[in-house]
Amino acid sequence: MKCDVERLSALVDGDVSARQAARLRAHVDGCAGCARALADLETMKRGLGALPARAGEDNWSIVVNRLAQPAPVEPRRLWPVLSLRWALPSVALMAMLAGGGAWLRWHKGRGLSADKVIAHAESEFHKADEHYRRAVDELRDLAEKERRGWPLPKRAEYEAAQAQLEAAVARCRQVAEQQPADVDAEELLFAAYRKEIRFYEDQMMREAQ
Amino acid sequence: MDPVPAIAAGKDAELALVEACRRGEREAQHAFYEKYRRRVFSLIARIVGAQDAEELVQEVFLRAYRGLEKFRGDAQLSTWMYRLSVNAALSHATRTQARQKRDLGEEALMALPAEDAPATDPRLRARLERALHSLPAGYRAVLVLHDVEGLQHEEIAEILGCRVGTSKSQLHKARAKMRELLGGAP
Repeated sequence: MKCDVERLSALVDGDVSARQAARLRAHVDGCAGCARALADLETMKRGLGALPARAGEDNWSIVVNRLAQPAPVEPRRLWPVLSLRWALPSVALMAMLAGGGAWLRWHKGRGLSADKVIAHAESEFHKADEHYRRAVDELRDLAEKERRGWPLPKRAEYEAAQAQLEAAVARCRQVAEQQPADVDAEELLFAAYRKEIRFYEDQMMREAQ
Repeated sequence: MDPVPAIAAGKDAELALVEACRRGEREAQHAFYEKYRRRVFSLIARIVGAQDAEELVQEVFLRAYRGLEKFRGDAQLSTWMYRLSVNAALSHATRTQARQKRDLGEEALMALPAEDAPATDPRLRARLERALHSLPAGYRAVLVLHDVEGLQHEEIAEILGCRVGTSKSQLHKARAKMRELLGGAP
């Protein structure tokens, strides 16, 4: 049996079958590293459970005052005014991402090892990254075509903003590539892509109004 | 007292409180605030830090009062409040993570002693708090909900909008990462 801290974590919660628990315990008995890991996990769980609740301020008067003010207006959904050609890349992207997730779950269900699942997850990340890039490229092309007829100052303003966004996305991608399997870095990159997509959509919506 | 009628009575009282809040009754809104503010603050403070938690707690309650119309009573009110709190905390963490530097790096955590200690040991508590703070926000949320707040995976999955299996695997990964941060990993 291979050493696996995550399975030991399940053992700490009693979330393994009796047979698995017996196998894990037998492994732990003969493996100093896992014995130490199990002890650490148990201490950690006990310690977290014993952390005292944090006490915040009583801000009821502020909440009441804020409640009396009108609720901020949520941004109006403008999807209906978007033409199909704008919606298609985003929809296609979502479908691909959903398909990737289903694929990964299917493989997980077949009992692959943690390493293989992580490798699959990384491969899925690269696929999602590729799909986002393709969707962004398509939207960028469309946006640039739309801007051709614009007055020069307005075009320059949009292009400066676009350049800033592209630089931000490039920085996020660099971080995500430097930190493989860092969920936060991946989420940040995808958030940056979505922001870029919204930027192009916003441009199109302004044109449609 | 038989637990079943007690639960039913609790549920009825909860729905009555929700109804009164929907009608805009200030006393009910205050009771609602008092009922949840400590839990909401504690959860948010553990995910984003105490400094930013006060403002987010206010946001959560404003969202709750304005969103009570949509609360159908399918989930427990506490689960719904946890969901609002976690969403607010994770959105905040995502917004700020790009510009935020972690207060303590792994190096500082390693420097702290790693000997076994009782759960109430203030040094262990401080190390756990610091390691929690250094975890990615998603891991922090699931670990706080399960190990600190004591919620079951079914409830966590409902709060986070994921599968029970995902909640479990995220918890185990979060613990493995915590252990690394605490300097326990080989």
